[in-house]
Amino acid sequence: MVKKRVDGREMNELRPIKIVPSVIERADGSAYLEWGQNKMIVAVYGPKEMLPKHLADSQRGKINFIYRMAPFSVPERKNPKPGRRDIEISKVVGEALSHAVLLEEFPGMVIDVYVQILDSNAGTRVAALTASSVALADAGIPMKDLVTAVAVGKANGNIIADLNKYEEDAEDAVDMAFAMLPGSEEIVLLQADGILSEDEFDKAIKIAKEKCQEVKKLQIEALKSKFKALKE
Amino acid sequence: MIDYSYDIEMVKGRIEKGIRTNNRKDDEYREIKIETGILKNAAGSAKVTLGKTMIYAGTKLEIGTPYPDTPEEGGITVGVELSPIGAPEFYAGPPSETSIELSRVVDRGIREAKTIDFKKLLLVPKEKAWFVYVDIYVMNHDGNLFDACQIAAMAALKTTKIPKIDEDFNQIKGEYAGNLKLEKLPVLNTYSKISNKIILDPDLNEDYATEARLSIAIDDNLNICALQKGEKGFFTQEELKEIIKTSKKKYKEMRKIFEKL
Amino acid sequence: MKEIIFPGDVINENLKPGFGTYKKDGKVYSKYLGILYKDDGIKVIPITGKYIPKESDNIIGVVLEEDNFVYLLDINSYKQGVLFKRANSAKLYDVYLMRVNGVNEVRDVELEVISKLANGEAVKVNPKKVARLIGKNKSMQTLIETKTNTKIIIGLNGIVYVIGNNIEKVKEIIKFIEDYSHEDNLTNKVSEVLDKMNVKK
Repeated sequence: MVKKRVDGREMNELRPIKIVPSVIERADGSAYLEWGQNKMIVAVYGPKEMLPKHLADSQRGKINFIYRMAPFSVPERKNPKPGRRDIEISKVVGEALSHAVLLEEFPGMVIDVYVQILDSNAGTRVAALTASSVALADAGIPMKDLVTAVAVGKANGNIIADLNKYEEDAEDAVDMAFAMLPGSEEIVLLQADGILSEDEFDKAIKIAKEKCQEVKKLQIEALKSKFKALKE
Repeated sequence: MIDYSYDIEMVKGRIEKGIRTNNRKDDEYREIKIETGILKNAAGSAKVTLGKTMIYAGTKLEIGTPYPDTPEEGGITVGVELSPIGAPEFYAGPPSETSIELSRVVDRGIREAKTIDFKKLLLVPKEKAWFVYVDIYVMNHDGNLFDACQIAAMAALKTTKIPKIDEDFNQIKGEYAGNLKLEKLPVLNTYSKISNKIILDPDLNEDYATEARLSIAIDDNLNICALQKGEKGFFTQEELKEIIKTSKKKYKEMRKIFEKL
Repeated sequence: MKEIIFPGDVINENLKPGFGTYKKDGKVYSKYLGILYKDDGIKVIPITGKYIPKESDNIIGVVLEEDNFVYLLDINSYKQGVLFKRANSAKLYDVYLMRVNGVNEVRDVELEVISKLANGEAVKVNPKKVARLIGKNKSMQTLIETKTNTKIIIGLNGIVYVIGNNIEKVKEIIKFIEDYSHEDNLTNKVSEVLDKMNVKK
């Protein structure tokens, strides 16, 4: 008998995901995303001149990715000032996006990507990356490909996709954040904490790649919805 | 398509002729939409749109020690964050003077009306009481952040649930013991003076053309509970009287928005 | 309906790859969320994005700042446009129709004033939709001008200046074109919408 998870999901089942593009009128691109209990908004401003000038790269543009969590987005109120976790996530997610965006087309410029987490329950960084990719496409930024992301891991001996907070806190839990360009399968984000055998790791990667293709379909559907249909 | 009213003189000209976008009257609010209970980790939450201005507010309750001069009371802290998401001119970093003024005016309107009875938040005299934190995020700036933030804060507060606690005063995750009670429902109205005309609820272009701004909070007894004048222009006493008259007139209609929640 | 294409999509056509595409390992891909055009080559036009300055384009700019040497104009692009005070005399909020004389690698734009625009209102449009707003041989632009009795000066950068009595109607129809730019037969549909509007003569 196949065991189901605490929230009733299958081992490889993702939580429900909803993506809506173009939600922030003042921004150049944006997206609202729900992933399970996670809720967030991403806004893209740019490309624009990078100031101060001495920080700019004269050969290629830069992505300034800022990930922040609202004090009410977590079970115990969080200080709105960025902590070390926020800064680390900002760095690695920004680096992931930098590989996908054609930055050579914007020497000396910067693209600001801001993510505000409004409600959270595990997997916020992969959700933020997935939403940011949609927001960048919404802004008309040229990219090699979208970036798709998912968290896979181990809990109670099973390799599972998209851990929720309860599973994340299990004793033998391993949580691996994974992101790739779905066309070329180039891996641009990889973080893990916990003990995995090489076999378990291979299995986790295989599942992550499959799930990323599922996530991509949702990103495409969201972007398609930008084309309104004329009612006759 | 964006109505590109870069030209403040043009906006002033229109206001002088009594022209506002969508044929709005001088004392008319844009459409207000409120959703509450949308964020699970928050004790209370609201998404508010005032025209195209978009605000998210959330509340969290923490147990703290009462202040020495109010040993039998809890308290409230209100903060507004101008998220870099909300406008190209907002940036990540320490609060600007704009966000601080916003925080303090929204706080004042709620606090001075005695919206929450802080004595009811007491758990153990002198030792433990509930403190309510309201955090407000501006996610799209299309004018009149003051009123939009106050509506979001009130909506979040009105639908806030008080966490259940055990004998050691630890919060039991996901369980609640009753709702936060609001004793009063204060309304905040913000007016812009443009070319000697006073208009309510300025949109973004009207915000840019504002010479002087007045925010006024009215409570259930039609008393003024907070006032704030901003920008570099001035008001005459007659203009202030007109504003107070309009705000009192609008109170009942605006209060209904909170009663519905 | 035109063909919608997404970033990273493979384009399987034996035509010369043009704007909005990139090549990798012998295959051609789309860079943008946009519309795929196949004429004598392949082009992907993104459906959103700022104006990418091109030499010899006619654009419209608005003076928003000045310092001791230059006027800085909003030209709906990555950088502001610049007019030198030694060669130009302007005021805050002046609107100019200008020619792009040159663009460098970091998208600094060299501008030359063609004329000052006045007595009208400006709107900002998605620059990627400007072509639809003009139409083949100016067909869409002429249609709107005739039916609304206005004069419309269209900057290729997405800033549009409207002079006449029915500016609000023109704004409405511009928004309609922006929203449905991917539909076929758009000119006819626009004509229908314009007929339904109450236009002042």
